[in-house]
Amino acid sequence: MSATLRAWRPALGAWDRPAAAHLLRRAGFGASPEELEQALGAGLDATLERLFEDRTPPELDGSIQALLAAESLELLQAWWMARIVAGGAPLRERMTLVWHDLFATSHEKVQDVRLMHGQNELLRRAGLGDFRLLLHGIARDPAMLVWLDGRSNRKGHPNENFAREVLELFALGPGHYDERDVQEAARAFSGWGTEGRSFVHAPEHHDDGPKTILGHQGRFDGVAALDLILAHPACARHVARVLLEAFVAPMPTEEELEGLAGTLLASDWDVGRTLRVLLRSELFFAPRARRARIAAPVECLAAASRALGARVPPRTLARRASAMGQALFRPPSVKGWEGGRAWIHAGHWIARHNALVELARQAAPSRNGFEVLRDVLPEEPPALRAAVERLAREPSSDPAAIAFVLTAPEFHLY
Amino acid sequence: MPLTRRQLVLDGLRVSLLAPLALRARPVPAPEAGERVLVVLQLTGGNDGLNTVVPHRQDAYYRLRPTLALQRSKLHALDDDHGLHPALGALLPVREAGRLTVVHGVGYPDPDRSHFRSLEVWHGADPRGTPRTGWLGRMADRIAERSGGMPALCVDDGELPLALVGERVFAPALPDESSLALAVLPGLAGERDGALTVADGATGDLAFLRAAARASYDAAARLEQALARGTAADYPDSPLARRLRLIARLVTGGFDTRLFHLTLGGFDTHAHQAAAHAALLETLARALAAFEADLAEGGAEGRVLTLVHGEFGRRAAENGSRGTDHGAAAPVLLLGGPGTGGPRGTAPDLDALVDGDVPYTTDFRALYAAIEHDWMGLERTLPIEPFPLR
Amino acid sequence: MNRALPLTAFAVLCVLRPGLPGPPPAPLVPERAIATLMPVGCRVYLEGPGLEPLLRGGLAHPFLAAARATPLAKALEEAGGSLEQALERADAWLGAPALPLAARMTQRGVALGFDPEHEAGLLVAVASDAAAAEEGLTAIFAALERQHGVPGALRSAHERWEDAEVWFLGEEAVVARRGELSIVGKRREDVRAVLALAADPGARGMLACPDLQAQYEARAPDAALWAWLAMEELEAFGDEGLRALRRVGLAPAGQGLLGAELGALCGARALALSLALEAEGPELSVRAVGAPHVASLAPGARAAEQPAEVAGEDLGSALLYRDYARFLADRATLFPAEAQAAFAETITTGALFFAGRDLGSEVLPHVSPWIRLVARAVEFAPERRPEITLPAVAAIAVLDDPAEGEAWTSALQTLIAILGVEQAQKGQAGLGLYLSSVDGIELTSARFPAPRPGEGVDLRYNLEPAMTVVGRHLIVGTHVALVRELARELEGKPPLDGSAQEQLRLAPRALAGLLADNRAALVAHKMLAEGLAHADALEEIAGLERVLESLDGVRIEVRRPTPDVHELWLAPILAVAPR
Repeated sequence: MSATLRAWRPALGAWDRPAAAHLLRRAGFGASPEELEQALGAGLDATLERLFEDRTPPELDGSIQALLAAESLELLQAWWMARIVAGGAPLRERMTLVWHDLFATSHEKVQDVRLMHGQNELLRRAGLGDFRLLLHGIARDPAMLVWLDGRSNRKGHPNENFAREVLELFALGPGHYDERDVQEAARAFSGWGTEGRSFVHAPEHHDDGPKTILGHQGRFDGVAALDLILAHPACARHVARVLLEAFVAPMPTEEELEGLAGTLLASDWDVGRTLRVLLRSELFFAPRARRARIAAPVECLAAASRALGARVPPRTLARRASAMGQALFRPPSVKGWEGGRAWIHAGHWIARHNALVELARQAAPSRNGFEVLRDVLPEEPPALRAAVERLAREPSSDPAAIAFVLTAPEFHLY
Repeated sequence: MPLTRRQLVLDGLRVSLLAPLALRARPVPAPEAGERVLVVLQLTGGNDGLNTVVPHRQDAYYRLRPTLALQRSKLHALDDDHGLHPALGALLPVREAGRLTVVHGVGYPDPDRSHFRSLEVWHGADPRGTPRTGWLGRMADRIAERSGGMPALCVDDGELPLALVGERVFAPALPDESSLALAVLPGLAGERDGALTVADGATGDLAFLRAAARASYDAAARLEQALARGTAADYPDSPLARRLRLIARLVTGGFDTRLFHLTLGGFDTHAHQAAAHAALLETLARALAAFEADLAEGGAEGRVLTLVHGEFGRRAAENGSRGTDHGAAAPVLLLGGPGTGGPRGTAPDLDALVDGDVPYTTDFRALYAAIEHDWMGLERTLPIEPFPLR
Repeated sequence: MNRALPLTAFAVLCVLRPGLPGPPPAPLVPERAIATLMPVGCRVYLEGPGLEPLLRGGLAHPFLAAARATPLAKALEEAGGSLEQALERADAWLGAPALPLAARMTQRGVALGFDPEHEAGLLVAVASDAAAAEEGLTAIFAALERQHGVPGALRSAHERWEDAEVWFLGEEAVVARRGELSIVGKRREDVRAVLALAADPGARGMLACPDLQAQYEARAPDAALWAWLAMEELEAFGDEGLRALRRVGLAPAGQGLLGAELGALCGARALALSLALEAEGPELSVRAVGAPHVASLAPGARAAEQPAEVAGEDLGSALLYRDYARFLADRATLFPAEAQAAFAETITTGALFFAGRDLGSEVLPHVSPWIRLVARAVEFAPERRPEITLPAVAAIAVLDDPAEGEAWTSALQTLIAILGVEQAQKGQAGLGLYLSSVDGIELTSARFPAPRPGEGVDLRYNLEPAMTVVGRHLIVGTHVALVRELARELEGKPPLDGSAQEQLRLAPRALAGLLADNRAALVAHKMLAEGLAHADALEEIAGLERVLESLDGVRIEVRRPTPDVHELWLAPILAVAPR
């Protein structure tokens, strides 16, 4: 196993507030002050295990079932936001969002709330399991078939959209395949479509002729094509890159990629087991990984709400995230959200600022600036602390103190 | 009683007037003298060019439009052969001042009669492909390289038009003046500005975030300062006029955005065109006239070029419902700019129609090229001879 | 008003008078209206001309008895304690039976005035005689002193103004008694004004306002409450909602939407409200004063027939007068220039649907301006039953010529076809058009393709639009089942002459059933849109259901007692909880 993935043995005192907050932030969506205290007391292993659990209240979980008929994307967005902020299944929701960004599918074109919900449930159920099953599942997902024109991919009239994206964006990345692979893979996927809201395989539309994909020859169908892609060495690296960028830092090194890809393969593509190794590793807790990402709108709002214990209606939070540039279920394209510095455009920063000030105003009666600073920025940069002291001096300025902490760039370094 | 948006804006104004004093380390940049502005007003639905700029000397006009043809005596003369629709009377002072240019027959080869596709063509400046960025967005990218800030604004509700989509720059939506208002709390701005300008040697993402946040707050403050200017000009009470007024306030108030995009819909007049078209043109003319007057009042009329276009014109012959169907080329209006106004380009010949439509004689990309280089001062990117604006 | 005073006790003082007693004031003339004691300028005036039976009857009053038997009241009493207990507590606090004391103190009238500009209230009560007033005040004052543990303190802090005793409850209130008259107010100058009016037998007080006087004289003497709202003046102090409402009422567009009557009420200069408390339920009537009125839009502007009545289980029904033909014909004078473009567009679009005919001049004049709206729950075919059910709504109009029905039917078909194209462009299945003939009734309807089993039935399946013509009745509705029912009910019935007034009927109990059917969706919606916890959302929906189950019906009618009087009459009918 790579040196950096070696398990982290925190020295006495090293499992401190910043470390615990870092884990709860990256593997979940931040923590309430109580959860942070609990994690500190419970230790790294117990906290990590807790992150894998799903304790979402069943009424919340099931609340969307009664509302799918309403055909409202806003309510679906609100439901997911509610799941995230409730914090009952931190890592599962985190991975669902990571996979949503990777297999980016937009309601703009799909125009069917039930299908988007179905895909979301697939990502949630399969997201911490065998990646191979996830990839096979997403290839047959009705929303994906609508999104990437799988339904019009037929023998004699192939549609290359899905094949191209699966090779370029989902599984391999550029440089590991050529145009011919795209065309041949498209032929392999032909015949997959939907009837109503269900997946169907229409043999009469399937091109079962001989194909050459990634150097292999055979009468491959969609399932076989996906297996060939999974067998390609670049695939595990691609997935490793996704995980490293989501949990550690942008631009992972060669060593890190190789290491995590190896772990993924060694665990038989089990994402959950791989994450257990990654989230327990020296790499994860190294300075390089701390505060190395810029918070996405959903991450920012969820972390802020949870830290403040604010009770904002989920629909409002979802709308604010959209105004900040991340509309759940509506990524701008199949490439997902660019992320990183691209989150910060002038109009979006203003939306971010306004959302956080509103949260601060709402939370002010029950929280004060010092608490919030200690909870969300346990490193407590001295300059910020001094500013909070100044703001907290005025009797009515607690919202300002809290807002100051939340709008400080330091908070947005996730 | 919760704070109203208006109060927030006013609070912010008070604070932001102090902000320049606090931000000594970073002075608020003033726009360069003579910095030019482009306003693109899209007439969505396809404006009927033949009834906007009427070729009243051609008999075919009356033959093709038995009920829709406009009487010559009611038109406003543009030149000997053409007159403007009666409802465009409000634009006469603009024309008198030499600031109204009419370019005949603007379109593109192989015209598409689908709203979606034709809009895509005009927005992306690519009649053949499926562009992922728009001509204004690409210009905004280049402007941002030089000077940062908010080079483009979408003065509309709803989705960002393809025209404004760039590779890097994101154009915020500003349908009304409070859309980009900054929420304020007492004392917050002062501490924040201090924290954002602290010189602690931060690099990487932290430095980027600080700079980006500063730029956003600056922009919001400048926006409020610009909006603080009231207008003496008398605008009519239409949504279009309100948006043009907002743009005028930003331009004369010194805000640094150089590209604005807005739309006026309802031009898809398939049936009973006469009354609807007249009403739309009147709304358009009155709003634009007030806009021009406002700019002149604020000393900015030489800096602003307004381009008024639709996604296509309409067929020469009227249909059976006293309306017209989707066509091809149509005239484009330009207000302001370097020229002295008047008709330009080749006038349509109703005896030489192609497929019942007016064929294009000026490629719209030639106008774009002229705007991009001669007006906005950017390098040429469109592979076409620019239209002579002078 | 001083919030420390219990609601059921009127603050009247009876005090030991320090110093020499002055001559007792002349008693008020018995016939003197209490409105003459309220200074003019109160923008909100409330009087209880018929409150006495309620106070004397107490909990035995038929209205209270009926109200307490509703599910809502039962739930409130369960949660907050019964009215008997509340009354006992009041009696104990006072040291005497509270309701009879209140009845005596207000026997000859009680009124409340409020001025939002200064946020100052004024309460005036006339007792049967001076002794009753004095006794009541003493009791209340003593009770207040006991409560705050300051025996005698309040009563000793007083002044004497000419012929009245005056006391000050801190900064909160000024209390005065002049013979049988008791006054409580926030500001001294208000109390002085009332005393001045009392001393002057010929003073007019609020009746100096001619509008108010006219309404006052016309009021029912046994109304439990009568109120006067100076709406035009209140607008300056109200919130955006009030201003918007008045704007809508004053604008022709608003009257086109709300109807001329309701619009006139919204835009009226002042409103006079009268509340009667019957055993069936409260009855509120609202009269408008200075109501701006677009005559051409009001009933009676042209002679017109009304659709016949239908006899089914409605969730709600309404009879409305909307003369849109007149609306469009007069648009140049009724609406500003900027709105004309929108109208032009409407007419253009209308021409699309009506084969080139002008909507305003060629289509609408053939339709009577009286429209009946009906809302009912419908039976869905099992495989088409949406997971969230909505009531079906239908409109019934009268055509002057049954052949006109074809124009409307073909307009519906054009609309369905256009919608179908839009849906096809999005890759979705659109509404398919069907013609059916049932019992000799020809129906045009449209519906979505049957949902596939197991894939869920969306909200859109509430929509199965349909249209038919029965005799001269045109029926168009959101669901074919309702249209069919109405067609059967209207078979053979001629239209009515235009004598009924605009009205609205609701069946809250039936609506409660609809709520219950969709409870899961409503609770989930509250959780996601309002952020409520599951238990709280359930409680709120349950509360709403209780309110609905407490009302057997709601009737709202426009009444014209005389041609120049615009009155809206509102009566919720109480429902007794099932045993």
